[in-house]
Amino acid sequence: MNLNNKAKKTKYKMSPIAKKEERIAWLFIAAPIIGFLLFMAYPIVYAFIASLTKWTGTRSMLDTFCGFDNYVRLFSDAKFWKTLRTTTIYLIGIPIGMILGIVLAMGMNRKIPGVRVLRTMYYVPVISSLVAVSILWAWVYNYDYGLLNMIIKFLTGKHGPNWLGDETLIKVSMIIFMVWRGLGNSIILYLAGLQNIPRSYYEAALVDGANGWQKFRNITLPLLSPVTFYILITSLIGGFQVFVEVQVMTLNGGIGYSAATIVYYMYQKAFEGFQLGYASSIAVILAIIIFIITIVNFTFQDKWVKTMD
Amino acid sequence: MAKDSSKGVSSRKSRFIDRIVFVLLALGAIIMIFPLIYMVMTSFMTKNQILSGKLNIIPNPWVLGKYSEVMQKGSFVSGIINTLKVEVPVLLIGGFTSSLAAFAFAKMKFRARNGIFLVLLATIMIPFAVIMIPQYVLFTKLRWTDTLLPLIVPACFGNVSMIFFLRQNLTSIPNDLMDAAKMDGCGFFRTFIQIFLPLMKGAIGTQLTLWFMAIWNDYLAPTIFLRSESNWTLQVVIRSFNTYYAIQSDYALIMAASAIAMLPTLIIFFAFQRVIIESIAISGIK
Amino acid sequence: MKKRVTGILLSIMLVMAILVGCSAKPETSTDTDATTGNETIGADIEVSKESTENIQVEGDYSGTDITVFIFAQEHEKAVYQSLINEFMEKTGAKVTLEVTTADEYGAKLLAYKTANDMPDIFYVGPEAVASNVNDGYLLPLDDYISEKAINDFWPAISTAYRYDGKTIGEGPIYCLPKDLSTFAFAYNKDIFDAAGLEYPDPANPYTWEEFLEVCKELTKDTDGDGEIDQWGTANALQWSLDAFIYTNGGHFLNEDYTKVVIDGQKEFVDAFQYFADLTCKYGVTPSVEQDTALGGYQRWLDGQIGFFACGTWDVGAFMDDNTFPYEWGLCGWPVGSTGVSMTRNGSVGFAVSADTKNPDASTALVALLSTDLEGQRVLSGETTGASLQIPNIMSYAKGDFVDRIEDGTIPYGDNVEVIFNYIEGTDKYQGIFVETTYTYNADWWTEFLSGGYEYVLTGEMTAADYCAQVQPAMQDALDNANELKAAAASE
Repeated sequence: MNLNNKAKKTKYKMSPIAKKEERIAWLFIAAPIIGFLLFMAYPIVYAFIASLTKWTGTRSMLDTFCGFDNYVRLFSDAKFWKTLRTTTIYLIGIPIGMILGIVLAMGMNRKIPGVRVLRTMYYVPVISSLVAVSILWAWVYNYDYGLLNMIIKFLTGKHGPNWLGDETLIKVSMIIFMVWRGLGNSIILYLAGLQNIPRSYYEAALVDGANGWQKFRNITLPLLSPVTFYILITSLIGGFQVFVEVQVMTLNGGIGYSAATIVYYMYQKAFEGFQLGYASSIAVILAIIIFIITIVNFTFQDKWVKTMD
Repeated sequence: MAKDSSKGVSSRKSRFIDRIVFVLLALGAIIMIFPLIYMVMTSFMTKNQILSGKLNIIPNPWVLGKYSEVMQKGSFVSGIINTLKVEVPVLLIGGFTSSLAAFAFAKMKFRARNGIFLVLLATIMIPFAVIMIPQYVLFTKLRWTDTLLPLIVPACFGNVSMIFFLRQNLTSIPNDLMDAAKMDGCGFFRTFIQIFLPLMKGAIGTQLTLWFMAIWNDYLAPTIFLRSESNWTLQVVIRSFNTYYAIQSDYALIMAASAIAMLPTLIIFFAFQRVIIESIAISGIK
Repeated sequence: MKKRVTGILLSIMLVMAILVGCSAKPETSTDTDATTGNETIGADIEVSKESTENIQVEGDYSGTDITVFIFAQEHEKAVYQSLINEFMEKTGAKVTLEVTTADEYGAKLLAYKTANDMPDIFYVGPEAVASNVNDGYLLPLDDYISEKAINDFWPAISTAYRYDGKTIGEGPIYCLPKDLSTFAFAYNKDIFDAAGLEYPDPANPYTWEEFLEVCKELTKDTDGDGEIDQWGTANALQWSLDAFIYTNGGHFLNEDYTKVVIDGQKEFVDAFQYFADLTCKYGVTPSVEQDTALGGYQRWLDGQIGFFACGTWDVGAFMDDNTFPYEWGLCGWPVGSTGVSMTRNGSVGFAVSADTKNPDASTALVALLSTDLEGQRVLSGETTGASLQIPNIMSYAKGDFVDRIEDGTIPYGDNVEVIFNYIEGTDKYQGIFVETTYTYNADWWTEFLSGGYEYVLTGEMTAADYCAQVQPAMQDALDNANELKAAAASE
């Protein structure tokens, strides 16, 4: 991001015209700033304060102040750890999606006629309504009448497994679904990345006698690393917020709560159990987790993310 | 990657590989959209066929009535209307405030410009889940939970990713224009409206299209903030259809409703796919 | 090109809008009943003007402003609205009726509490009386409602809505009932006829052994394709497990609701194991997998199930030929070691806000909504032909109501006396409020449901092991509920 173009020019005294420009500029950016303060900054502070109470939405919040009790309880809350674990397991879908994405993008990067239509087909799940496709996939996974088990029965003659009725399979099912939905996005991003790599790099490699794998390993992959980084960051942030899939595809988080994610647990605590204080402490932990992940990502970025120059 | 470097002699081999690659890609693409085709097919099936437990994709007989049945459900129609009631003000007002801010960040000079911009940009990382409870309490205290305001008002203050993309777009426009406008004594607001807004037209259109689709598909915020059924947006409605009509085993109706709910975003995507995909692709390579 | 596409889009939207036209009148929202989550699929019901003409109200409340906030289905709403119209006409009060669905009610009521803007009249269930009283939201009604009126309610009602700050069932009364429901058992007569079996005898509910035998007879492959397609019953654990636990003398919690006591408790474990064996050992219910494919309620409506739970609110739907085209009757849940058939009762009551500025007018209106005879005739099906609840007033329930069922005015399954038996209690029948009624929230019960009980039904785990495994999590949830309760009470 080229933010460092033209640093501060206005160091000492500002001219009246510059002052006027500054005032008007502030006016122009006032809306997003007010929006930020009102609907982002204030809620974050509020969430932290609420997390220190046992508030259930009735009467006054601060009367139920309880210090860090919620966090202590959270620490020994088996459901919290379970949902945190499930949320993390779902992240397996990220590398799977990336690998498939690179492979398919490389296939599409060959100038084959008709490939544009295919690209669009891969992208359709991305822009489809998440609720609608979750409904659809719950039906696809149905034990007796779902598409998947009917295909299995057609091919093997045996009844397929209960995709959404087993603690392990339900996670596999969710991951397949998430990869399906996100694949088009990583293909588009990788394809753009590939098209951005100057042909001269490969020509130089050819002179050096590099084979296909070496070219992939030493040119393609490193030069795609900014895209990989972008996908990683956005998928991690998205991955910690999985909710709709669980809400629509399972009943009460699936068998033994095995499909429930951290946001789903928080939602249930807040808007079904009305334990707003306790749910807020989950929110704060979630914010901290995402904050740490983002920091770690940006810190280690230099180690593996290459730029073109 | 092999193709680019090996022209001439090996072009026949390369064309052969191309063909195999194409077949594989096509196979993958069919797998990708097959569930969606199945969804549409199911919406035309009878209940008996759906619950027959046998693999059949083609409806027999074709039942065409489910779509008009869905469109006659009051809650479905009001879901569409409510969604549009959110879309229109948000895209108009929010689109305007976002463009204005992007203009200021790109073309005007003021202290802490980059710092403020970075802070705003960082908010993209804040998960909605973290702020949903306080927002819920806030909207409750304002007594907004019986209206669509919780979905409209915050969005009207602008959309950070839209500001980001428009700002990127504006940096490619030379600053001379800005200076010329200043020389002519043209006010900043007029400069924005008369010179830059027309220049950004394409980029704004793309961003608004993406935003339209995001609002259309949003579920979590509406499900938390909208309590009365009369205010439900379309996504909340089809989710309630899923619970309600499943009890009557009316899966054809559920699939028809879901298919209709997906239609607008699909149409828009097919119409504008070139610019949409370009804009997505840019985000990855900065 | 862009313009063309936009044009196409707009015209599509326009066509859609025209297609649906002005028919955008909200549909009858058939919503869930608070006590079960089973949806009632009922016929449309109209309330005629005459049916509420001769209601009895006295007093002059002109100048008062009252807000009523309840959940209701469309037909219930019509009944309450017409009662309210009469009330406004006769007393001069101004009443606003706000209606939501059962699903959203809890959250919306909380929104009113958070905004500190309570409606004058709202619903409170027995499970929420204690917390609402502790939080200071409810007005005691004893000073406003005559003793006689209270005495004509079913006894279970005044037990449910009395609270003295410590014990439920004692102290002042805080709600008048909207309804009192019970969760009886029903059987599909057509399936019994086809199998050539005697109908169950309501005077003598089956023992567990007898029940199992009948279920075995009913479980069969009716179309000869080699797969079972009809079952004795279905395993809707979250609604029907209670009926097995309590009849066997089992219980979830100790007497003061501070400890979860299922681990190693023979009565509980045996009942749960029997319930699971119906599925995993004897196969007289659809399997757990089959149940995820198509639920028990769906299968019952489809005529695949012999016995299924039937709430008083289900009757209207089950009598509707489009929903359930079979003949059916009521019977008792099978009887365990106590020898008494048990089930859960449910209720919702009209409460008056402690903050109300018009306690006299509000309580008068509550009395009308709860007890007005004409209103009760509509809701119980005498005027409309679709019964949604049994009458709140005992004398009417046992008199006219039963007569109208007998003469066919009110369509009802056979053996309505089963319902009365559960509500009043006899030596063979007893209906109770489940234990979640007496705890601050139902989280401990949710823990029971989310611990993977399905493994007991599949036979991969014994009931005893499951109880041992899930008890600590339930205890945690219960402890937390009791803490929240203490925090609320000490405010």
